[in-house]
Amino acid sequence: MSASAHADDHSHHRFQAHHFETGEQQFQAGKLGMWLFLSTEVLFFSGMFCAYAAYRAAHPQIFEDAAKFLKPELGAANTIVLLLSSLTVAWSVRCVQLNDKKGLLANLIITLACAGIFMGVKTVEYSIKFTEGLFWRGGYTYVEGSHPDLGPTHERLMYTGLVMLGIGVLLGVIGIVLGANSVGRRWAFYALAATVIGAGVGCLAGNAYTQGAEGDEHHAEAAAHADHEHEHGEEAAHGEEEAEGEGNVAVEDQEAVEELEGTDRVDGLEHPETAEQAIEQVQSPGEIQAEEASADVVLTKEKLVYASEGPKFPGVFFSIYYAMTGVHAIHILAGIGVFVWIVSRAARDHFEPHYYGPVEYTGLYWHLVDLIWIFLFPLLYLIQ
Amino acid sequence: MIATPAQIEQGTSHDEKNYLNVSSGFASWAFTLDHKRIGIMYLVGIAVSLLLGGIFALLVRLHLWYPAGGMFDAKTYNEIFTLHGAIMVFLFIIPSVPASLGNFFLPIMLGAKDVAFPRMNLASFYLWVIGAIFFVSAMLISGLDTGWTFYTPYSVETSTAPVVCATMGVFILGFSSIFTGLNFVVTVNTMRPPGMTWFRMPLFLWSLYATGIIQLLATPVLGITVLLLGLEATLHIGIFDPKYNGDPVLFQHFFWFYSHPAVYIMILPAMGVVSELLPVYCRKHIFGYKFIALSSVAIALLGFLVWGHHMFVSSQSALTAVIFSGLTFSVAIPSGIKVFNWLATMYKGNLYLTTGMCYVLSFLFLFTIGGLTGLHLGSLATDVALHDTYFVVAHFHYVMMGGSLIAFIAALFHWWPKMFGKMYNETWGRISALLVFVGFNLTFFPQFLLGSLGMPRRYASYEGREGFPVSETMLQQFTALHRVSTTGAMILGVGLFIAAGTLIAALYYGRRAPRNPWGGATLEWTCQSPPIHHNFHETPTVGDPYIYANLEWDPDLEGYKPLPPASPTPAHEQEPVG
Amino acid sequence: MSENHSHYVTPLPVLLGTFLALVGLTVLTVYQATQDHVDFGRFEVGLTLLIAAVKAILVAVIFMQLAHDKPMNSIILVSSILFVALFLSITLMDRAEYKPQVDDYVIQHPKTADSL
Ligand SMILES: [Cu+2]
Repeated sequence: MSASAHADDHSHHRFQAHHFETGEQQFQAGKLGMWLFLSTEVLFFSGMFCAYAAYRAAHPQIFEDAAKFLKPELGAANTIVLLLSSLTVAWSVRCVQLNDKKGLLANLIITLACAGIFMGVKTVEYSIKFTEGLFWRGGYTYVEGSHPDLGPTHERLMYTGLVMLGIGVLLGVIGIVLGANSVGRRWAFYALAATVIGAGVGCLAGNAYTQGAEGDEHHAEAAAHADHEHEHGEEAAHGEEEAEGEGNVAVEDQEAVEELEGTDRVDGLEHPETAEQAIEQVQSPGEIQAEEASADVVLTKEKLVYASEGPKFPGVFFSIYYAMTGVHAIHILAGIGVFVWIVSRAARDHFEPHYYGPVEYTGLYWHLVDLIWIFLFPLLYLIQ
Repeated sequence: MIATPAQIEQGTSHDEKNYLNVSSGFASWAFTLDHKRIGIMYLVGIAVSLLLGGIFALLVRLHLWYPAGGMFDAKTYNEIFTLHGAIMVFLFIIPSVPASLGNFFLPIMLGAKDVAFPRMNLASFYLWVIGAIFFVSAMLISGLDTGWTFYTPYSVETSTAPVVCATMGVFILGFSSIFTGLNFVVTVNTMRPPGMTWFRMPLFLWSLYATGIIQLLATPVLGITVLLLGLEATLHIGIFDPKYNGDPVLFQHFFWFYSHPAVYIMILPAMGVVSELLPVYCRKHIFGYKFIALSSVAIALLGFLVWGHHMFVSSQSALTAVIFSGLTFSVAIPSGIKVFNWLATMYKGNLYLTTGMCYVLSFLFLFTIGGLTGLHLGSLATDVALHDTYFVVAHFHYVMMGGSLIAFIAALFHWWPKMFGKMYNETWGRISALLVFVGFNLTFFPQFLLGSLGMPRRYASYEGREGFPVSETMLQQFTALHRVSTTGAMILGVGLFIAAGTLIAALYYGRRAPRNPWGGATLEWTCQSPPIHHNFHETPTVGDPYIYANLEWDPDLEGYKPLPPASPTPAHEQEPVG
Repeated sequence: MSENHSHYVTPLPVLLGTFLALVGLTVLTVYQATQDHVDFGRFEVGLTLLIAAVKAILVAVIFMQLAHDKPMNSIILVSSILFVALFLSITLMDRAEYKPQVDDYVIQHPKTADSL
């Protein structure tokens, strides 16, 4: 913003508000406003990060136990999809700066399709967890070791994906019909169509992948079961080896059991049923025979606390998981809504190198949503 | 501040259409993007909230006339003090000065036509309305009785429905507050007129800027807190509710990370008002401008480091409590800087005891008492004894009401002529100031004593019962002090009604206000009273906002007018006001 | 309008290169988390978050153009992160301090399958 800029520009752009001196002042004000809004978003999410960190620091085990229910491949795929959408958003800003309307529209449509794919994959993840009973703490019905039949869920997801594809195509057609006289309306429908088709693709692909992966897992599990006895024999031989996995859990669990059984002085455990139930809970996560464990490992209070927190304790992880991914998904949906509007305006030639603030601001918002996912992905899917 | 010849000319010429009569009809208000009209709509909403909250306060005080409680059963009493607290905090104090007067005067003081985002400004007002309707109706219909703090596990286990509704209301109100703060920060950052450097900004703008920073950084945390609380109450997500493996102390961390800084959302604009009014009514340049300006920012930032002082007896760890206690004292420094600078401004000043100034003097007295008693509560050992007693109630009323509300009223009297173009009756204004001051101290000073004697807050009765034994002497003391307090509250109520009546009567019977009735040097006094739709015809030039030597009393105008730049009159020759 | 020339236009190779780097880092972090060859133990969390932070910085600096923007916008982002750090650090410190008490209570009052 400078006096010379003002002098050069006597005719105000049609979208320049009356209370700004120059278009540049308006642009910078909008950008500053968007950055301030993004800082509020960072703090908004911080509450959930805080809850995550608080429970993870106190009870790492629920996070380790829960990790096996999350498929890093799906999370990684969604990460790459979001990164791609970030690229296309940044590219679309470049296009509008260079007055390339076709490039702008193409990039925005790809962005929306990516957003759709992301939501489609999330639908698959949520649906399968719901079927397994992996709800938030209050609704947690998962029983350790149970293998609910996922067949109907996969079938339903497949139909959902196909229906979405159909709706997407329909939206495109509606756009052609209703938008015959209005380029803005036509492109708004195209944008919606791209999103919904993306969601269908995401749903179908995610579904197919999980179904395939489950099949592999069943084979692997059967094979692993055969090796089970053998492996544990080996581990017993190298007792002090800090091997990760079931063997180690078994050792610690055994200690917890002994401590529970041996300590009469722990108040509140006088009732034999309570203590027994607590012991069962310690045993159940690993599903391991107590006799298998051997070496003497110093056991922390952690295991005992973990057992005392009750069988639905892992539900807290899923509470945090749903809160974080759910709020993030709401932000994706909001972004989709705004981008549809941006596409419609772009189609009506509202943007040009002198005036493209809304594209840039929405892009910034989208990047932040991506940025938050960049942290959510490893925290929820990878750290075990 | 030197006005251009054109502006001087306009002062004598016929008035143009102002923002009030430039257009009319419901839609011209409901869909207005004019920051001044939005400010007025906020003012109406805030006044209604104050009335509601005040009525509930009087009900609480009347109930406590008798040791057994005179009017309600315990549950209803809980609901009424919750209504009082929640309405006053979320609907009145937080938006009071920034949303109404800030909205009105921030762009004018910047010489701008509007705030940066007028649509967002209007949206923020409607969010406030929706949030308020949600909040109040939910509380009235379903009976919220958790206090305004929503502490878990009580809030998630006893009264799910009202808590969910109220938290949704708070969530919406939070966004309204964020949008207001965002608008102010962007406006100040990008729309200052040529010549107005950061250190030539009126101090009111500094305080609104600092407030905006807090609103932006703290309010989102409240948003996520109430969102998680709502989920806890409905779905039992097990984050705050110990029954579901949750941690109630974590809730308090979340809540106070917002709610302590929120105290500064409430008081900083009030401090800005005082910094603005004092030099005008003392006819003297503000003392220590930079210190006052920067202490606002310091308060905003330090305010984020002390939230744990609300949790000294809530299972917070000893280590954290010691750290928070130590940090709490640090906030006293910037507040102290302000008070001393105000006093220094008054020293050897030429004081005009207008109604605005009377309220400012009350502010100085009451806020200082409130601030100093905060030190008792900030130190660990005494807080253990005083926590959850009437001492706390008295302390925060001295700060919130003696500070924020009194400054709000002072600002209304100061700027009323500018906002509506009418002068109020100075005599009645002063009477109201006196009644409010006397009533306030009668109401709340006894509460310090009550608290020291061990009277817990939020109790519906004080006749004694299991867990709260009350001896005969204690009962007599409690009863006497409660009755003084209730009597004071009635006087305070009368005072506030007289203040409101004086202002409203001015709209109908007041004489026309000149451009500059008090001799202020900030930009709002150079535009017409009431201002025209776009505030200024041309972006005005600015200078030091606290130099009064270039203004001269004009008996014909019954207001001040700028001197021709060549022959400045010494300040002491100026005529008194009114 | 001359003012537009001051707006930085990110070159296409930079955009594409950043994207590829981000994808590469994603692959790296997934590989690191799922591989069994090297065990970073306690540092695994830190390493994973470090990679995430690098990705976040790439997005902020290049896609969000902070590198060529007014410093104010960078200050806003950094200060919001500082306040998050403040919030998390003190809250977590306190929780770690009072955790033993909570743990003792939990052990004495164990929850069972039908206790809720
Ligand atoms: Cu506080």
